[in-house]
Amino acid sequence: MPDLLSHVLFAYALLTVASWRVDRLTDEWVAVGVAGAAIPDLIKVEILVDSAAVSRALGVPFDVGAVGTLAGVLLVGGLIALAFGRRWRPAYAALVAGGGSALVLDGLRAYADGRAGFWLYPVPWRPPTPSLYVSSDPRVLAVAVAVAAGVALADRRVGGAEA
Amino acid sequence: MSHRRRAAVAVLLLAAIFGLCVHYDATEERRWDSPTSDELAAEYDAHVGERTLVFGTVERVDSDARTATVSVEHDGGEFAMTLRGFDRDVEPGGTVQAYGTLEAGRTMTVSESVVVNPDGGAALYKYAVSAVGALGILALFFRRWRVDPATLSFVPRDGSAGGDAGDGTAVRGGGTDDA
Repeated sequence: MPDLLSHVLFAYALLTVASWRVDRLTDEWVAVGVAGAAIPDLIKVEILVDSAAVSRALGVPFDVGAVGTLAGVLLVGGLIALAFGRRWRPAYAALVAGGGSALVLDGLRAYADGRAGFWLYPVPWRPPTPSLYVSSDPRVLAVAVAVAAGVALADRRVGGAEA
Repeated sequence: MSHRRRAAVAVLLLAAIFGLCVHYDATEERRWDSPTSDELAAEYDAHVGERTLVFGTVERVDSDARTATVSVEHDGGEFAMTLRGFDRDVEPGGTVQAYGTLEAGRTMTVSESVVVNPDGGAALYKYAVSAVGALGILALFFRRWRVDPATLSFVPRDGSAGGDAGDGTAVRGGGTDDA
């Protein structure tokens, strides 16, 4: 994965551009969507708790990597959406949009055999990847910063086109 | 949604997420059309001649001989593999992907490789930048949202474009659905 900051910046850019067209996508919901972009990064709990260790402790197969997939984003997004009370529907939509954007970005990473990981799980298929970058490449962040800054400036021009 | 119902849905979703992690691991070998590292660790010789993708941590690179020794992780530990025809610039401790044909003696003839991390030093960079990302999320989120203690949920802060100071067009949250 690229770093969390790149996920956040790309999600911000994408959702902000979308907000120029979609009236209901106010700054509040853009902020929720940007938080959603962090959902696939939750697999980093592996640093603290190894999946294999959990698997041995419970005696069942276990891989937290499932969270970094389409099904993971849909379920974890639902869990987070519960924190928005009666606004859970738009919250869920924003979270899934942000999480989905992070999955797509990860799906462009380089793989030696030209196919990305199982990010469309439960669909058991590795989509082709253009192999644009590796996760340690700082240029990803540079592009993300440039794109987000450009969108932020344009957003000011559009002048709070919030309905 | 009442608190009780919200708690019930949360428990259901947590159970579903756990189930997803179990299913994802249980079906791993079925999903990959090439042998996984667990399968190679268990019975390497059965897979000689097959093409596969390995993820490894570099131990040694011999650029003259165009070989590298990598350590491949699996569920029960790790094993060493020799990559033949590997000519990438990478330091020990770096991580690589290699795609190629499995030969006898835990050796792969590499047809394509990717250097994911050239020297193992990118981890710190990623942590630092990700910490900034996490702070950014929190800052952006709490500029627009606050916790409503009455309903225990996030509600939009008052205020029109930009500042936190409300000036009339407040959208007050909560209150209507919780008994």
